[in-house]
Amino acid sequence: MEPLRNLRRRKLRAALTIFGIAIGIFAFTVMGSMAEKINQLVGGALDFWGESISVEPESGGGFGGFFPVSVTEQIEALDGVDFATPSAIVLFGNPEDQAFSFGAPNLVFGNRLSQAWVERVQEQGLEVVEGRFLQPGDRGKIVVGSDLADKEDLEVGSTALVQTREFEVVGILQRSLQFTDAFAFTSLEDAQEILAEQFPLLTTSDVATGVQVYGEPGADLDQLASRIDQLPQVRAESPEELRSQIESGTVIFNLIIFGVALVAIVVGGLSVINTMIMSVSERTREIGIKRAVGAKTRHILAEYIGEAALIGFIGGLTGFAVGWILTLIINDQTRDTGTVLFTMTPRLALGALLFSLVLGAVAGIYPALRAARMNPVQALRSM
Amino acid sequence: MSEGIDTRAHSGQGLGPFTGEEGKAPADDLILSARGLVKRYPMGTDNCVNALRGVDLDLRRGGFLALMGPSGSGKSTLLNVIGTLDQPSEGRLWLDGRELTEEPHSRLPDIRRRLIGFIFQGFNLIPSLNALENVVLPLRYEGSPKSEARRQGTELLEMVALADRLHHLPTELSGGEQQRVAIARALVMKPALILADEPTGELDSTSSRLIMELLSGLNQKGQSLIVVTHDPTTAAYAERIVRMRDGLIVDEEDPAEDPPAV
Repeated sequence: MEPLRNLRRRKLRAALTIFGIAIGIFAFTVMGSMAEKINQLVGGALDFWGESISVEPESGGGFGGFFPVSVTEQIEALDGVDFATPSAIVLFGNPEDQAFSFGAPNLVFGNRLSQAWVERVQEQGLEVVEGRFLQPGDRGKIVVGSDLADKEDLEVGSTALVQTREFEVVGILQRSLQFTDAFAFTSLEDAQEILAEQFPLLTTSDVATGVQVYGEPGADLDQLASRIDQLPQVRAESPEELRSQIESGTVIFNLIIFGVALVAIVVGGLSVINTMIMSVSERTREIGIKRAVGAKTRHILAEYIGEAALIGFIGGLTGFAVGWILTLIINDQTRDTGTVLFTMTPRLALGALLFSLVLGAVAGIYPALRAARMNPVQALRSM
Repeated sequence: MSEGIDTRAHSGQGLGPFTGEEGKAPADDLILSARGLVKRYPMGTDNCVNALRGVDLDLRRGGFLALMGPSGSGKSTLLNVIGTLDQPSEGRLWLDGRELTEEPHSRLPDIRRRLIGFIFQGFNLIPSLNALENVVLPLRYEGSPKSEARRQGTELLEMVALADRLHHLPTELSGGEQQRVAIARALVMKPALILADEPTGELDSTSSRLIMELLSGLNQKGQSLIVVTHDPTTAAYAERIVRMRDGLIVDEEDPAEDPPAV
């Protein structure tokens, strides 16, 4: 293969150029697989919550506020609501320990275990790989995500310590590579008791940190959300709002990827252009010979663009392979802590390799045009 | 050396019929005909150098012509113009019945590949390709199937007695061997005309003799040849010697009648 042989003729220079491309594609691969992980989490969140309305206390949900569980009944009374499930979210570990932890905190979702909710969330992908899912009437039981199970060394039948309370693990969720891998699910009442211990000033334990509202088939959820929003003490987030809120969070990651790709283009591309221009200058006489034996412009263009594309591809393959291996090693190291940072997807792999190939080829166009436009007589005279 | 190759059956037919002007087309028995070839090279904004100043030249099919003359006389320029590597400023040129000066620039690589074989003083082989790959290079540009190209290349290298050097790189070959590879490459498209620029210029006398005997043998089988040379011994193999000076043909002789001084 002539292009490969031509690269071998200038080993050090070719290696340095390939190294330049490899660094760019390495960064692209690592950052890209982190972004893919984020996209996967976002996609999972949208699948999980995107078909329902999230209602929070007006003062802020999660750990920022509470409202009485009775709000659920007010919401369920509205037209178009199929059912609503109050939930209380608590930290799995000690709040003090979580302050300096890396990655998303492990959360426990306490939900009212109605038959409708149990069926609905399992349809949305919360499947158990071991044991069983929660059932109406369960108390002191917990179902944990696979990453959390790995991190805390939990299995079906073992005891999970959530803050100060012990739970029996009844099921392990199937790994979804989404946020639920790091979460656990229990009953609303159990979560409420933890909240009451955590916040001793609460006058009643019958509080929720949020309500998940599911519409009747065909109901306009955005419209329903605005009607819920008019109820006192609550703020409803329509699926559309949630979608735009979550997706705006991914913009930053996509910008990082774009930035890395841009650096790869500038550094790698310029280095390929430089190498190929030197190569054209050194092989001027060869170009003259090839023109003399009947090579057309397109033959010369194809040869030099092909060589540049090969440089790009080898660099891309190297950078991608090293990047991938590194993400596998880091994932392996951090899996025990319940944090999986990287996800390699076929589109990222294909994107990285195609990108490097195209980058090389595009960078080769200018040097190739210089070669193809050479006067054959002058080219043959060159030493 | 093998004699199995018919060098007369060149493959330029694919380029289409002869389209020269009626009444001005060269006679059928001429492989090459040049009329009033002028080549000027600009020097600065106002001046130019006249490398060719109106050259008329004919070569019959199967002819062997040696171009001689001092450096700067225009021999190589004439060879480049005939070989379509360079375009004349004025004049007309026919090759194998086709008026090259009328051809669009984009067609010239095809014409060059199919009608003309080049042999250079410095051998001009591609260093990263082995002997066989160098020989089949024009076939690669022609788009010939690989196996067919290999077959033809091998046959030609056998013909020039390099059957055992097929996979050697140019750096692993002697000067004489490299020039024989170059000859095989020049023949691979069965060209109408071979142009050789100082083909023995970098060879010792033994290798020079071998190369000229090879070229002479090809000519005897019908291959048309033009050789540019300073060397009277090399020129002696030709049937005609044309001398140039200052961009003009100044003398022509038949070595059989008037052998050049060696």
